[in-house]
Amino acid sequence: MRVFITLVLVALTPTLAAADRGLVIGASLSGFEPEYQSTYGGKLQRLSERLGGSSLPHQSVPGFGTHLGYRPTSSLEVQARYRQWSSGVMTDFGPASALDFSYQRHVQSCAAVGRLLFGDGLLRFHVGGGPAVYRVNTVTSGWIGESATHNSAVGGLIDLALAIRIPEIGEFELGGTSEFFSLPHSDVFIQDAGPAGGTQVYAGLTLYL
Amino acid sequence: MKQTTLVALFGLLGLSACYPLEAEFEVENPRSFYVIAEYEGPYGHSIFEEYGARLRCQRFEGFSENDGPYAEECDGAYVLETSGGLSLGFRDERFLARGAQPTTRNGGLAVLFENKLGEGEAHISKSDQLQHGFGTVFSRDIAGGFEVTAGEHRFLRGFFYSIAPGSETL
Repeated sequence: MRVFITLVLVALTPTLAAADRGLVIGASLSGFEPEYQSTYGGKLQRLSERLGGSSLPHQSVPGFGTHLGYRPTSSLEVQARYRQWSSGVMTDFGPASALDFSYQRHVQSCAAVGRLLFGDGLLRFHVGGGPAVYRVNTVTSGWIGESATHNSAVGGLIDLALAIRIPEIGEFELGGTSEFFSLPHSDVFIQDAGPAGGTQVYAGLTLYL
Repeated sequence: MKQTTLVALFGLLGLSACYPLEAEFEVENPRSFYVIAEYEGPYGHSIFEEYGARLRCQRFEGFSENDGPYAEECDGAYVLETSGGLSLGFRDERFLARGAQPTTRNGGLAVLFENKLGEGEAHISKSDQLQHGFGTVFSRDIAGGFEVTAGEHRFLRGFFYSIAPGSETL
């Protein structure tokens, strides 16, 4: 057991590797799942189900992101990250189409992320987090009313990723990000103020510059 | 014809509000109903929300004793009543039938709020007949939306649905 733990620790110990120091740039595609307890992640979804409506998946629109990073060593990275995604609830009540409604949130985030990069083989493990600023446009239509509101919020994220190195070129990453932020706006009926974060699963490609 | 029906229904609802008919004319759905709407009026701008609303069949006089309490159709008007003073009466026979279609504006809908007659629209999105126990008790799993005005009182973006016994609400 000790040998196993030692091997794991050695594998995860940050080590220097000249090839992946310096500037990196990348892009990612993601799917976003809002917190189930949030209004649009849970309450509207349940309301739609109770009314017999069919709802499209609320993480239906893939998110997109880019990042620019700097690695002073192969075990540390600071990153400026931009991401955007949409989520919401869209319902279809069939013959009672007058009740159809849509609630959509379009989020843009800019984050400063610090990450620790573990491992020096082909497989690496990245963990990090940092503060973020979120710009949120909320659009409703249909039975719950026509509205468009804009909010900004400050929050943060935690990021975990598994990276597969492509020697001398870059890395392919599969990861998850938990976003934490809260919105002040509240529609009197929908009552959608409060936690607005959620979890993103992403696939990204980072190139060594 | 439609006006006549509405007038009759309004009268029926008014009568039921002021002078309840004999209990034998009323059959209550054993399910309670959740009702939520945005309220605008003399009481401000708020959420009208109730978990214990009831749906009953306000029978017309002369109904057949052989009809089950929730036979294929209610021979009268379905009345969704809240303790907060809002009552919605559905008259249209198609309204609660299996595979129900949405109503037209004002079609078969009667509104009472604090005994004031109103108007509006309602749409049924779900209407399933459910059987409980040993097949002797029927109730309907009903859901829909409404927007109504009664005097200075407005109820917007309204939804209602029946709550299954023992289930969570919203």
